Amino acid sequence: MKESYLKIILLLSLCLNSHGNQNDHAKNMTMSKELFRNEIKTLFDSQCLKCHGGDKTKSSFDLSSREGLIEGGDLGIAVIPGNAKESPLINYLRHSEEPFMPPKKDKMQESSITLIERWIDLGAAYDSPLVEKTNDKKAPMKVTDEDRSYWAYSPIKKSFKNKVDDFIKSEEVSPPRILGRRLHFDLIGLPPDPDKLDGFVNSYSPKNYKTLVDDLLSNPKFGEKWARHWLDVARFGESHGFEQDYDRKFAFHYRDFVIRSFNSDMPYDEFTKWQIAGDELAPDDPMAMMATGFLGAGVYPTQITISEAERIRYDAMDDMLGTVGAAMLATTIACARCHDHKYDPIPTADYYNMLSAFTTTVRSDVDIDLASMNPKDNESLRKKVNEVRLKLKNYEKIDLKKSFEKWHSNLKKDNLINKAKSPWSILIPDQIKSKGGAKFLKQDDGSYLVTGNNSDFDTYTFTAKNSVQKISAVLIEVLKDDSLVKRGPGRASNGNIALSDLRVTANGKTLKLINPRATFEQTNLPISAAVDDNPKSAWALDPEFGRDHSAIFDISRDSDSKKGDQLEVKLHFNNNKKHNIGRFRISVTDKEASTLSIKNINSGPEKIVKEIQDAIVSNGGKFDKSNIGKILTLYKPLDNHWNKLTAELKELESKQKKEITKVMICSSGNKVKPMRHHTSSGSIPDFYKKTYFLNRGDVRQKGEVASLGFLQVLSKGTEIKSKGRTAIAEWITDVNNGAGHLLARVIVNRIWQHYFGKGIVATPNDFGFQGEKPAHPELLDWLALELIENGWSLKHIHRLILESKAYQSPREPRRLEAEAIRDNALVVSNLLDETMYGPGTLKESMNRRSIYFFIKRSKLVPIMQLFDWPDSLSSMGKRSVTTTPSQALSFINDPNIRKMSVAFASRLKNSDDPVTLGYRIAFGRKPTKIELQTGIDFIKNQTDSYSGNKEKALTNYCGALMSSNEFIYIE
Amino acid sequence: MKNMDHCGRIQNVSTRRALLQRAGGGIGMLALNSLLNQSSIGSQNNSINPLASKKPHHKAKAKNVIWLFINGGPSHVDTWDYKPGLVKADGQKLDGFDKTTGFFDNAVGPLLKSPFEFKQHGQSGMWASSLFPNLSKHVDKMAFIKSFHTQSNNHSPALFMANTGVTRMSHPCVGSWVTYGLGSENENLPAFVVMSDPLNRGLPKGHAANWSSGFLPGAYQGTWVRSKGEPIPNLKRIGELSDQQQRAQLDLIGKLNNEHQKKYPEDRELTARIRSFELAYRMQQEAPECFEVDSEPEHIKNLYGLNEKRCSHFARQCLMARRMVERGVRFVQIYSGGMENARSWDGHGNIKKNHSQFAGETDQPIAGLLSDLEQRGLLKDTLVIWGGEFGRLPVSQLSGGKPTGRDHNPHAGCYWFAGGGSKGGTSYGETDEIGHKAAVDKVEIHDIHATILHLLGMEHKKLTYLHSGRRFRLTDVAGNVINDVVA
Repeated sequence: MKESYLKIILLLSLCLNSHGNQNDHAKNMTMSKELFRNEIKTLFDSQCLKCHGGDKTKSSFDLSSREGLIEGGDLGIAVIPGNAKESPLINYLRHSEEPFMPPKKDKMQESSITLIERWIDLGAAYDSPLVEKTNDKKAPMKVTDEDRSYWAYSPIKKSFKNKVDDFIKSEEVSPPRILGRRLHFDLIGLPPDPDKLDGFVNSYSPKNYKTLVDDLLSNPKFGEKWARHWLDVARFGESHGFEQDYDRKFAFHYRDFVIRSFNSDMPYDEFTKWQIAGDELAPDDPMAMMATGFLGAGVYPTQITISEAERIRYDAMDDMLGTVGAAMLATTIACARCHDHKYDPIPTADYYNMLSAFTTTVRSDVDIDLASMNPKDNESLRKKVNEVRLKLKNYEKIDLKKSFEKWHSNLKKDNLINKAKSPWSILIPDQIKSKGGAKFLKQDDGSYLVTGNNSDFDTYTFTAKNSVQKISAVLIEVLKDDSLVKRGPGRASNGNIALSDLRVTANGKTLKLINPRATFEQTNLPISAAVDDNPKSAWALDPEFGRDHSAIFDISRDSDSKKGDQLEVKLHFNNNKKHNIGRFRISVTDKEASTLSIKNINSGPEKIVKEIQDAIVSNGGKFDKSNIGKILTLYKPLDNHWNKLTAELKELESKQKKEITKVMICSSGNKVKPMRHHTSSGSIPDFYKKTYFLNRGDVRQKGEVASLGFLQVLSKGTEIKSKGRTAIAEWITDVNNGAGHLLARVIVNRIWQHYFGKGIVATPNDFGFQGEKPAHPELLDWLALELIENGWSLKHIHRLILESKAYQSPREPRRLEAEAIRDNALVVSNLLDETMYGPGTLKESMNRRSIYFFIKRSKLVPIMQLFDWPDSLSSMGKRSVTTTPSQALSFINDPNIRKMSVAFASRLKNSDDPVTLGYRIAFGRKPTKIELQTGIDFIKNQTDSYSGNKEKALTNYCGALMSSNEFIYIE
Repeated sequence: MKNMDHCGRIQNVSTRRALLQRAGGGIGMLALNSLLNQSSIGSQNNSINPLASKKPHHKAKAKNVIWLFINGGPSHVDTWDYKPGLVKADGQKLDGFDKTTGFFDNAVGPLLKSPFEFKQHGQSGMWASSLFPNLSKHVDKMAFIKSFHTQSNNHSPALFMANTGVTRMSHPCVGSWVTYGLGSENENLPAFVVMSDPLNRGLPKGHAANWSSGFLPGAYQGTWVRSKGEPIPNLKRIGELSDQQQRAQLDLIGKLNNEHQKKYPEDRELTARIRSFELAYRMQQEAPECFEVDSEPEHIKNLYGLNEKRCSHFARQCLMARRMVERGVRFVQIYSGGMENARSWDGHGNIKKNHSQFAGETDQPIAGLLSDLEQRGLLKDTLVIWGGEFGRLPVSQLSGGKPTGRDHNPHAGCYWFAGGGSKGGTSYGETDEIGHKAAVDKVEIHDIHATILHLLGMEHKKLTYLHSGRRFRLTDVAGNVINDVVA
């Protein structure tokens, strides 16, 4: 029946088309509408609507209504009513023009396409829109299971093959000499030593090949070569960019982190996690802190006007999230900032939910002790420290509670307040004097309240008998009091103090005060100022008023004092008018100074007991899960065994050599001091408290507050177990319910790309719909699974590839990257300085490996830039390879390259056969007869032209060798 | 049809890729060759010779561009945009003015009329202020755009916007896009040249990012040329080699390379590199001549004002620019002024003093350039552009309590085109009565970019580059050719 209906329509329309007029138009439209109702509607519904107007509107093409159909999409017009022949839609359906529709499915039946053609010729009429639209806002994108079945997002398919060569057929293997040279450049980015290469060639066997692979993988230069690949992806730079392009002096630690990680084969999941949230996951591990430099490696404006401030903050967060997406997941998350992703199943909601993880993330230069990273550090000492640390941790976990329970039951029997022993002995003064006429009122707790005249710059002199054997430390407690302004503890109009100097003598001999520490220090007014040589600098407390404060000063071991000595303590207030202390107490101790932690003495033991009792009372008179944590924290300093362990740990730690270093990290602006920028106004915040959904990415069009979430297409209802970036880090490495499988695919593809010149997926930073499909999905999945199942060991993947016949096959010569070109020249000229790590330089004349060039965004090192260095502005998965005359000019005229030619020549000057030696050094082989003769002739002619100066001739010869294609193109 | 090409899709997908797209899984054993880097991704593969001359999309009206970048924010109301309304309102407070429009929200003064006298000039009767006694003679060559506005009130984002189309630091600039699209006409010279202030007054804010190739290959980066000393690096032969000795060295390199290539006769990259040494040698021979401004006859030097102290530095750069376009350099950009404040057209403190100085530095050189291009028949092929990152406010900026300066104005500014197929003696768009905001036929930088590309024979929507999964354009999702300024 359908067929006959079709025939009629066809006949009718043919007749009508031949002599069309207004009247015909109406008839055509009626017929078209009829056809729509009976045929087209079902076709569109089943084949097209889902992506074009239903769940999604891919390519901005919405055929749910006639208006949308006619308007077309990103590709332009799709349908011209009345003219099917010229309508591109028909070509897409017939698969005669890209994009073939429907995608990833069989072509529609020809009869269906013919129907659509006729319907268009008749006018493409709709009887009603295919989707009820409540308003003109598009429905939010839905992420479906079908989206999750896309090759990049779907689970890894297990394969039962077990080596690369099971997937790829390779016929030949390159000769050993070529393989040896290839392995060196590919693995360490440097040429082989000619003698060692000869050795490898002469004793070549598969076993020796493996040995060479292992040697090179464990060579520290491996990290320097492969780190650079990752730095491209991490858009690593060491300056802010924009207006002033200020340097980030301590950003280089991130580069060191990458080099170290690759050398030590840090598991790739950990490598990933630490870059996203190392500061949250392992704040005590310097490597984890250094890793967070990843987030902050991008550009940031240094001059911001108020009207742009918020947008710029969103840009900064976008840079962090976008780079995480590109580098780790080869996913263009940032494309969903202004609208749902046009091609990939990433709704804008996912973008902002993920973005919110970075809400407080800022750059900061912090002090970190890098001593533990130094391999020369005393291994046994470090072990001991870790042992004691573990002991203490375990004690706190289990035994501390038992100890507390025992203590508490005793407390009930007998009021222990008086027995809780403080390490401190309160000094009872013989006399206290004030230079400015203040009076001192003794309080019950042994403290003194200061009243009477509050002079501008007072000095209190306090004398007492020493009550302990040998003083190891002095405690000054500065206490609040209701009678003081703002409850003190100072007498200044805001309650502040400014203690400019503290002097202690025993029988007239000065006791040297060291290692000062305090409960709180006002910015730029630290406790150390009370014992420095500057009589004006001081310790102050703004804004921590109305609270008790204290400071401990150790006494240097050289200083001596006996029990009964006459002690004199002088407190000077020379910094700020009327900033004299309002109430204070002074104590001494003979306990080991390092055991005296400032946190413990904020209040005396009697107060601790009281606070514990309060905590119990407020919990209905008992201690249980809800308050035990707090109670144990309070109780700790009263516990003998805990004190013993803590003291032991302190002592061991103090023996460890510290290497306090400034490191640029990224962390929460609530925890660290954000790196400030020169801005037009101090009122611009470093970050905003909340991240909002933005309509079209516009900060003036805020929606609701975004809450932490992940890409839905890579989540299986994943529960959010952690907070902030930690949650992102856990999700991204979660193989079962998160993005872990894609993470693995992306990194094995990158490794593959650097060995073969092209990834299995040719677009290493885009595994989405716009990217290329994997040329060999099974191989990709096999490698990814190998990575996951072998503890995320990247070196395992390197080995799998390197040991394959595919890798060893003959290949077309490939140009070295900028770094390797220059490093190669430094090696052959014997100038290479092998110093690893640390800050880089902008000087082109430096002789270290090129990875140690400082990356200043406004001043990229010219020779590097010439050979396609990345711009360091956004993640780059694959560098371009260009060939320009400027490159050639640098080879022949650049003074630095000339310097290398001179040095190379000096290696040849004493040789009987400089040409052969030159070839062995530069190319790892002997010259052919022709090459030998050409070289000899050149050197002779040039020597003659320099009136016998052979060195200059050799220099020009070496320059030519280094300029030749063989030098920078490796087979 | 809005957002056409935004996040654009790949236009020419190779059939091979399409095949793989549909192939799905299950490939099994694959020959190694199919996994190696043998296939290209369309027009983007410029590695063999990135600067090879390419055909435009349509017939070009202009071949070259000289962009005189009036750095720091030239005041439109004191240069070309005559505002009688502002004269009337002089001294009055501007009601409802948002103090954060400019950079200094605490120094907003009353409206300030231009301290310069405006007159009509030429047959077209275009207005020009007394700042330009020489340039005003050329108004019949100029197509004015008086309704320019931009997105940032801050130098560097606005500079990035003017150069790259986005306020952020990451995208390629116009010069890079143009050389990517058209290649070079003379491989012995750089295709895209930038000259900055030679008087030690700094670089424009954002420095080299203003002439960066961004995500385009580095070969499209602007070459920064010094107007004194060695103009570009490595152009000079090492002193120890005579020309003959170097020639012999290059011949040796050629021989070594030819030997090497016997194994890979088909490899185009190797061939290209062999060729690059010959090009380099020619560049070394010929390029210095291009920069030898001193060889010009006296009357030409005088035409540009090369012997006038106050403008000799800019005259030299303009003359170099002419010599470059004459020899086929595609895109030249010259920055007038250094960094900010008194070092460029950034007249915060005293607009009269500031603009008198910088107009004085450039008036005669630019006028000389226009005359010289015209008399050599080069003007028809060379698009000359005058304009900067934003205009300035009609309200004054207080300096020492006095209303003598002007702050940044993202809402209005002025550009002009001359030559290269632009329509002389016209004016497009208007600001409001006092010149505060663009009001009629508003023009954004994308429109100017689209028009530049159009005059050069390119369609701004077709000039794309695939980066990070997206086909980027210079004009992003916007841009309309301003047909009214096209002849």
